[in-house]
Amino acid sequence: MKKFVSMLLVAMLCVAMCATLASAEDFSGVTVTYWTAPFGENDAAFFEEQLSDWMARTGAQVNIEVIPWDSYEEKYMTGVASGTGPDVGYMYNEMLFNYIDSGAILPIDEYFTDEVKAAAIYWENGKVLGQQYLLPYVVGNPRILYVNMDLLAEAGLDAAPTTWDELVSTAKAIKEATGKTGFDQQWGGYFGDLNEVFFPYLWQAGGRLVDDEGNLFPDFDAALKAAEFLYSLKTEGVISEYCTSRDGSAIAEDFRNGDIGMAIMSTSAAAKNTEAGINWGFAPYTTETAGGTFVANDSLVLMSSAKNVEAAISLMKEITSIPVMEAFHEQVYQMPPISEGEKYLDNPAFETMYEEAASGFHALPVVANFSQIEAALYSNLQSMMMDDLTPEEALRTTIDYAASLS
Amino acid sequence: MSAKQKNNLWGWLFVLPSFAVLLVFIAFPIVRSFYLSLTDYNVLKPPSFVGFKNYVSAFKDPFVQASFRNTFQYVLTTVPIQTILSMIVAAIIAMRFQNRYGRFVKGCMFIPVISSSVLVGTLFTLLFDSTKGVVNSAISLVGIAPVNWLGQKSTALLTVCIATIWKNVGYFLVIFYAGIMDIPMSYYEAAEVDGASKLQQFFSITLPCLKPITYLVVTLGIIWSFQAFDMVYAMTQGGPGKSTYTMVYTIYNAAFREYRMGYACTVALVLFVFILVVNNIQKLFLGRE
Repeated sequence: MKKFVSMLLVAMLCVAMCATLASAEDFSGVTVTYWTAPFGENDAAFFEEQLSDWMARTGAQVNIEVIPWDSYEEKYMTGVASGTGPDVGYMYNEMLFNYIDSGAILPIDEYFTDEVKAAAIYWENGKVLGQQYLLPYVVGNPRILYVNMDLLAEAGLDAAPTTWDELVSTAKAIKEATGKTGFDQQWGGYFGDLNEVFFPYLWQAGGRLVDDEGNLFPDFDAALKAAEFLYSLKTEGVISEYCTSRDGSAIAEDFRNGDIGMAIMSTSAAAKNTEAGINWGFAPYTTETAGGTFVANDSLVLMSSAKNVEAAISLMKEITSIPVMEAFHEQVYQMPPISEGEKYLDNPAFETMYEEAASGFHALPVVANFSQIEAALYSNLQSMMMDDLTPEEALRTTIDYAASLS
Repeated sequence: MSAKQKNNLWGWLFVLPSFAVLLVFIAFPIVRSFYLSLTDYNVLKPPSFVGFKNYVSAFKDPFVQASFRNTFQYVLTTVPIQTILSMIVAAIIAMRFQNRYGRFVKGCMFIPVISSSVLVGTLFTLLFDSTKGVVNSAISLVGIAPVNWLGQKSTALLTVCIATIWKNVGYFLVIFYAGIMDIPMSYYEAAEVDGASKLQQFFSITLPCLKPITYLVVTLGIIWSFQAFDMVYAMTQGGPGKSTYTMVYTIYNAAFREYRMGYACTVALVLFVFILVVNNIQKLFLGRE
């Protein structure tokens, strides 16, 4: 009898807890608008399916809008300015400053328990401009050095280079043995390509992009060393003489056609490299003073215009929950896990890299005028590659320009 | 109310709808842009008045300086070539090929006009590709070394100009052709009787009679060229260096990539003033009649 009574009590307790939870998560009649970028072929359908349980549980509806990359920032700008923006947004670091500065994004710290924070692997990455504004969501996709192992073998080598000297000697060896370009870079694209062509070398030289006060290249000598190294790649004929008219897609295409031996691309390019039949290997990055490369740190943000903050936060938690993220990484976009206990579903080739090389992965800073500075830097470095500016002039001109903006 | 006043009132009433449209869609945006050009405005926060600071910054900005220079080069390259080329082709078709072949050529030359600029830009990027482009393959047949068309300062803007001319010629060709068809045949018959050659007829009859059409074509060409954006966006993104930055590309960058709407309005107004000035200079030469 005692056993029956205790079971009854436990059952009643469970029912009561469920009822409490249900009432706490009752957002009947609320529609939460979520804007995201296209990662797969049909992101909207994926999220509608994955969030159906959450919608049934909470009574809320989700309005998912997938915005093309080409017009991503424009859509946010016009949407937020006209009051027709999302409740929950997906944003990358380069676009955050103005929204945070204008109060369009709210801090989220208070809505997350210590347990949730501890389980979120990259929680600390979400602290920018002094507060926790971001819920890291797409963290990974570092720019790594891919190597065509067949061309490498033809050159009598068997391992990807790990230092600048090795990068140069390997590129030259490939060129000598195969007649093909050993290593190439895209200097004919747009400033987003700095993630592949300049920032990794800046970090590898031990430099920083900005200091705490927002000053550009606080370790100028390191920045100069990186720029001089890149310039030497052009003058020594290591990279193609046509690099100033090649963009990222041209470099990727050349690599997949087996026309170049090494190139820096994102880990998400691995599948296409394999599809193209390339026998590829990689090094996370080369090392000079330090190791380093760019890594994405894209996040979910809570917009201050959210009509129901609790519902929006609940949606953010649901999207970043282990089941949804595992499905996302498996069906839509291969990335490493963002929570403790989540399965690793990115390309198996990179699993150990995320543990062993993580210290060299750098996200871009959230600072004022960063897009303008990037545009000026890319333009000046292009001029350097065309012999119009010296490496020092390219950097100094950019620093002066950045200073004139503040 | 007198009859004259009534007449005036009716006049105003008839003009009012068009005037209202002009006011709302032309005058108000210009006035509003001028106001915003005097502010620090990023769309997300209310504008704050900064006086003429944006104008001072614009004239010091290396991107704006480069875009002014490039835009002028772009105008000076594309407008004369596309005007002369379309006039010559129109004259040849009108004089020699007023048949199905002429119609076919006109139709073909209009295809680029209705094609998207991004498509045309992509096509020319492929044609002028340094390593695999058709143009470099063709010139290599006559022993010329491959050119890095879109990757060096001296040729990047020129390549964009070539793509623009290719896209625009068909449009102006149709206008010139219509203009030539309007020239009375009796002029040519009289010239024939006087023993004028075809070339003399072209320079002494066709060209003078086409003056109003030429004025229209040059005006449109100048305005379009000052607004160059889409081809640059598709082909070079302003590079390499700043060699293909145009004014509208700079405006776009300032407004939508850098969130500097006030600054973008400043550059836009400067562009507006430039177009006005150039248009008035052009009137002195072509539009006196």
